[in-house]
Amino acid sequence: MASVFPIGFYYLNYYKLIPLFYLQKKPITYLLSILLSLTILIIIANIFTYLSDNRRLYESRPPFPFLIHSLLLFVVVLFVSLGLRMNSEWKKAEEEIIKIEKEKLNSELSYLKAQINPHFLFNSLNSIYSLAIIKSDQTAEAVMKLSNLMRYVILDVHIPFVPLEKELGYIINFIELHRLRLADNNQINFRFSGNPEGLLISPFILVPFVENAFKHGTSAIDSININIDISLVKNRLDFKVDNNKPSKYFENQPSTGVGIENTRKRLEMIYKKNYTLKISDTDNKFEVDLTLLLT
Amino acid sequence: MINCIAVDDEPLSLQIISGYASQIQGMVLLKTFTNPLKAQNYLKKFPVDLLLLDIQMPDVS
Repeated sequence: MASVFPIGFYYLNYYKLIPLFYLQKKPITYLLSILLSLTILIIIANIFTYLSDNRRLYESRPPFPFLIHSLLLFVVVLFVSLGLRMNSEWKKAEEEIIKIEKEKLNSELSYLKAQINPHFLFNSLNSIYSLAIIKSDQTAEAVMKLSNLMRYVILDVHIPFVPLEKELGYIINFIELHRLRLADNNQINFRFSGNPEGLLISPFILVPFVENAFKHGTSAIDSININIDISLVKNRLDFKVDNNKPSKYFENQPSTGVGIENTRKRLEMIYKKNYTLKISDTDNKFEVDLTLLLT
Repeated sequence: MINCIAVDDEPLSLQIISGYASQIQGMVLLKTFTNPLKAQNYLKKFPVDLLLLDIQMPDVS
């Protein structure tokens, strides 16, 4: 019957004391709680023995053997429960690391996939081909822009933070290349204010919103306005993109929203509390309002 | 004489097409369109012999 108490202590230690004190990095509180448990346990064990049939035995001997017996049992229980608990804690932590690693890899892969948009590459090459045929003065510049774009996609995407100028440069080149091929009914307004010097940003955190506007906001028929507004006040970046939506003349393929969702995940992972993202999607307009605190 | 029009959402491509069309004897490129609805309206008034079309365009394909 006396073994009920050490078993009770085992579970108390496993489920309450270790998570509450030991894992919360309060070793002194943990030690005190252990000592307190030990004292209570010894008292209980002695009372129990005293009340049981061994009363005579108890009286005939000093309380020492019971103390040693209880203490020994206590220490064994303490270390077994501590060991098992820590083992399961380590396993949990390891699983968590593997999970995070996997998630990171997945999101990285999918945003890489989203980046090298073959359609855009071919469209741009096609524009450049046309420019070359008519021997336009813009040809050389367009090749340079595409080359800068590809450099950013291929080399800088692996770096956690790049100078803000690079991200802005990509957006500007991207817009310029689109301007080459779009007809006049698609108006693109790009505004930038502030000084990007010395600021860093996670690469391709703004680009998906710009790509999205061009993907869904260009038309052969309707008048379209794509507005991209970037302003910097010290290290606070305000980024606004909006486009009116072309009327649906025929069934368009529905948007999957994967690109935006991925970017939201990345913002959450990288910028945590240092960002706000508002997206409004109505029948005729799509608007993104992102504020980032840069480092 | 073959009368034709061209429709493409990219003005640059239309420029190229115009260039090629002008090299072909007996072919007259009457007009080019980036807006397919305008092209449709034009066709209703002036039927042509040949249409040069983009295979994929926003809004309409």
